[in-house]
Amino acid sequence: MKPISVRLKIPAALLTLLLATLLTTRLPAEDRLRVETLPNGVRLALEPNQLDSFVAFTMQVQTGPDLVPADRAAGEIVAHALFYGSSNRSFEDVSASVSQVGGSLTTRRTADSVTVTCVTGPRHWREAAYLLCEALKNADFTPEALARARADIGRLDARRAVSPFLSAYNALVERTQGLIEPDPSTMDRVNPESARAYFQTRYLPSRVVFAAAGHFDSLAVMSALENMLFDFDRRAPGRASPPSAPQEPSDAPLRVPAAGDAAYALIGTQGPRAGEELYPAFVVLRTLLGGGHGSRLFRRVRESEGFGYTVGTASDPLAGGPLVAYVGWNSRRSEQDPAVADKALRRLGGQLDAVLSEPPGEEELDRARKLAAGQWTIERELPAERAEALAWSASMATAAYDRSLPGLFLRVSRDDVIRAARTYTSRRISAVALPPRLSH
Amino acid sequence: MLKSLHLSAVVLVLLIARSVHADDALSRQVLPKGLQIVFRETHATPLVSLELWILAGARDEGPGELGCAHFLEHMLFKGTHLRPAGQVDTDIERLGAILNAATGPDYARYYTVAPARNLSPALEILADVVRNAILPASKVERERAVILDEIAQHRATQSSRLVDQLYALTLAPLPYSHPPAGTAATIAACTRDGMKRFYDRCYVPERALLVIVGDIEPARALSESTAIFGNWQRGGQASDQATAVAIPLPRASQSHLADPGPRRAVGMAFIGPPASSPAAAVAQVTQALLGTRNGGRFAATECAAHYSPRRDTSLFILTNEGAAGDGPLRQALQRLQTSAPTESEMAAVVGREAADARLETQRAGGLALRLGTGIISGAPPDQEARLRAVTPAQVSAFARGWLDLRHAVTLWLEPSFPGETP
Repeated sequence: MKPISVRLKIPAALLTLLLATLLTTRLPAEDRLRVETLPNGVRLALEPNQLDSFVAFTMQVQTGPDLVPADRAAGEIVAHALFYGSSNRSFEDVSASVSQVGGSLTTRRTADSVTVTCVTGPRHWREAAYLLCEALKNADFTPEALARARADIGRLDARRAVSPFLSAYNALVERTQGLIEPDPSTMDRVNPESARAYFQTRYLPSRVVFAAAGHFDSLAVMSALENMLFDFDRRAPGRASPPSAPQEPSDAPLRVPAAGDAAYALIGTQGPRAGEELYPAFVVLRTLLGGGHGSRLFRRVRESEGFGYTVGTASDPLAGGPLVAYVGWNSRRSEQDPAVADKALRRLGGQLDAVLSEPPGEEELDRARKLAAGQWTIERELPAERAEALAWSASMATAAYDRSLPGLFLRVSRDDVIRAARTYTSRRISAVALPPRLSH
Repeated sequence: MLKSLHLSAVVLVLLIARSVHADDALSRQVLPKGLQIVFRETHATPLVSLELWILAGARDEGPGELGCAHFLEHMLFKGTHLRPAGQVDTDIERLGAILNAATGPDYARYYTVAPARNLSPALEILADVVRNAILPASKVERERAVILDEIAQHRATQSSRLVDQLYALTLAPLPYSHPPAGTAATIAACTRDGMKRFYDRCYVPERALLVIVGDIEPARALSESTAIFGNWQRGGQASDQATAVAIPLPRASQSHLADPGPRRAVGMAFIGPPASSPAAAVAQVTQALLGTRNGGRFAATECAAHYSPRRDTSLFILTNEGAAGDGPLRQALQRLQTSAPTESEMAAVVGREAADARLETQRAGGLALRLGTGIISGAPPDQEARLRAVTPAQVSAFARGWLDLRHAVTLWLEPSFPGETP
């Protein structure tokens, strides 16, 4: 008996050790990207990470540009009414579902797209996916749903109006994209019929990307999305009306009122979309100019001149938004120097020009490239951020494109940056946010 | 054999348990010279958050030092014995990270989020900024202008102006009555000598807390931190010179101030419990229950409840930036005082707070901020359990005891535009 016991003990201990090693060694996150296009044209991109605590679904629809105010008004209201009732479920049902999935449901609209992201715990993924698919297929636009959407838009506008920077930034972005904000009467004219017409012609399967990131089983989610979306077969009726030409942006600086003592100057340029040739160089250019405290704007405007506290660049790059250079200062400076706002704009413009007149050296470029690559990781820390980036990437280029960006940033050359500056920063629009007592 | 398998199974279970809970464990160490270090492992993304907190906030400013805490925080980026001005930023940004700082009522905080592989060089830069600052006199005036611009931005919202003025009215002459960022007057009066005194007194390891959260093993984090901060010499003074000053409950008062905002706004301030008090959890639940325009009883209104627990006296503030004045605030208080919230409302409020906390702490930086805020303000650990233990009766009793209208300091901001600002 004894020898048998010994023989058995050793394998048992080894087995235990092996199992223990396997179970206590941190397994690498399952990071395989799964991409699929359904027969109806909807694109799916899933990137699971079992170390996340949440799961995020992003539904993105490339609605196309709204170049006339009536379309823009309808697009705005439809985007905000998507979850206020579907032809299959009442508003109350939908509300209960939103709460059940954790209540994190955000909608973001650009000039030509709508992006909705729902974040929830891993156990509720099916409910979150169903919620988005149901809205996409069966959203209804009753008078009550439109009224709720209008109230939401009003609250968002009020929140933006409190921030002079945000007011100026949004006005500038709209101007650079040639958009005209619909006036209140145009918004009021959106009715259930016009909302439904907009929804039926713009929310089409071929324009939709569904992305998921975080803690989930990709096989289960892929299969569920296929089932939920198989009957989404809306087609554009006939020929769409030809889009109008975008408004030619005016060169006159926009003026936005600011409460309190803060004042801001902003300059916006054009920008490429993700996937375009100069996109990595554009991101490095943006970082060189205004990303971090080693950037040109921070060092030359704030540190050398002692002007402004918030100084830098901002952009919504994946969406193809403009590069916005900005500086904020104490408007009481204007009491000593009434031309301070014009000088602030000249300071920003001067730094945009200087990329061509004083091209960056290798050390400066090295900082910008490495910071752009590092910030890429930081900006994708959360499942919601990764799901949105994945959706943008799949819409604009390929789902895998986003992952290749850090490597592309590190390979950007000085000539690439100069080319990006020449291509995108020559046409500029400016905005100034000043307290009303100074805005004359 | 059975015995052997049994023992192996126990070992296996213990190892599994260790692996499952590794991410939730909080490790704490105090280095011999007094620096506290807190580590937390998270592995969802290859990032690490580093936060160095110093007990060097507005609370610690002595006579002649008002505004110094914030001014000094800016001056620490103006060069060290090892790096000229600007080099700190260039060096850390080459690691893919941005170094930032903030000053609060109780602290100055220096923080960054970096790729985890860069832990060691990022810690070295953080240590250099905090320990080796030269505070060059030639940079003081230019930075003064920058800080005045910053204060103007902070004062851009009516809510900020209202809360600042309520602290000033209610807590004078305590240091907490001054905004942590300073005012135009205190920043104008700051000198390089005052900042140097403040630096030498407060920037010492026994007043510092290093928080490390992210994709890093605690053993590695500890060895790197010890190598970089282990020789930081003690300051040799009492570890926390500022002492809590008990102030009498204010009498009910009404004040009016001209304000550049376009609308009238009103705020009511009450003395609230410090972070270390058991009543702080009740105050937090009460604040969440009243809420803001985004949720709670004040949802879809212009009213809001504010409570940020501090080391010493903290204010509980109610504001209304809408047209209805203080009526809705008084009604909300009266309702709380006369009837306790229902169990279901309480469960919803606490559930919402817990969900918000979980979302906020998904980021390594969010978790590090939460850990640092709790420790530096003296809050007891296990925040979520404390919030869940609060009962409806405690909320009602808190409203009757702490939020007594006989001790409310009420301030009206009156629009001054068109015309001159005050």
